[in-house]
Amino acid sequence: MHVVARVLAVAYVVLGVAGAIIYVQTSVNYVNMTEINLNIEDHAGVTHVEVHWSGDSSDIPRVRVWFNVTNPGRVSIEVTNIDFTLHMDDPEDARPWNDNAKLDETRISPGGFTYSRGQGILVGPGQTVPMSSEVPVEGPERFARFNQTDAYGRYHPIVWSPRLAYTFPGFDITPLLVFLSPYHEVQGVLPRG
Amino acid sequence: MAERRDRWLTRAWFASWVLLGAVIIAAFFIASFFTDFSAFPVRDSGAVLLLVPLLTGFLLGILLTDAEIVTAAAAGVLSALVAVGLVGVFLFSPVLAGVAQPTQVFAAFSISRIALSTIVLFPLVIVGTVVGRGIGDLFLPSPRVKEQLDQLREETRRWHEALDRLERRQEPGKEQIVREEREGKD
Repeated sequence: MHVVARVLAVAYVVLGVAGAIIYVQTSVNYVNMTEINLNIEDHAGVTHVEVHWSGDSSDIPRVRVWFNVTNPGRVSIEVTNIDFTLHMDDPEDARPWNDNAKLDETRISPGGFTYSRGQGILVGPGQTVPMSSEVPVEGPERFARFNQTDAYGRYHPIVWSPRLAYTFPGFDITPLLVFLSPYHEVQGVLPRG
Repeated sequence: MAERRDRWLTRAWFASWVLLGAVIIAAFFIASFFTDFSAFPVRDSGAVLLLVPLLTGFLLGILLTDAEIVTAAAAGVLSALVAVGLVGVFLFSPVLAGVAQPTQVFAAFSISRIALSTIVLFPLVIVGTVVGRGIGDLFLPSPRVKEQLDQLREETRRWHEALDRLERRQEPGKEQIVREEREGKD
């Protein structure tokens, strides 16, 4: 083999080894990310809702929505965004809580949080992280929709179209959206002072 | 026995170059086509998609300078074929790893990408290999090939010299014939 060809052969082998590393790493990442993308929907959701209000009309009621996110994969994820629309079910209204016309009438306010990439909430492999978002109920119209209790003074909040956006730390990926199941507090929740 | 061993050694080298080429082509193809999953940052995916197969084929051609040009072209075809196979293995890796189910949508997505990789890789790799083989033949012949060429040149030179000597020996007789022909005319 010509001396230049020998040098090129060495470069070819180095390139081949680098290629093998890239190939294996990319394949492993693809498998790990696919595993999370396919399973996260079943591992994230609204757990409960708290209503913080003293009952004094001069106070601003605050509704805190709690989520649990469990990482079903083998690599970390970073939750960058959660959003939803808060509704308050009217127990006097006989229509089902998820009736479209009724939802139009029970809508209070959108809620959620957004972090920029690199500053979101990290969820390690197999880890479950609770996260929450508070929705202040401001304005008379929203307050009127909020203040709907049953005979026992319990509120029945609805978290409609909750969505979660997550990404993989260390990768240049546009955050992926997950549509979670809507939540309805059937038992009702008593307000905390 | 030694000849047989040499033949197998040549085949092993050929297979190694082809396999290495396929790994390079497949790795850079998936790294630039599926940048989301790659830890290797690719700034210009298009350039990598077009240049790496061409360059790898070119290097493969140079490494196969000793072989016939048809063998080099076959190496290019084999390399591209194995590379497409590796792209396929990558695309189906979630199914092979058991984390995903082979749905129709998944299969359609994967097969379309495999088809695209076939269209992109085959012509580039084969052209690169043939050009590399040609360039290697012109500028980087191996000492063995060089020696064979020198021997051929030497043999040709010897033949020319022998022919010259033969011509010189025949020349006086030739002059005699020409002279006799002229005299006969007169």
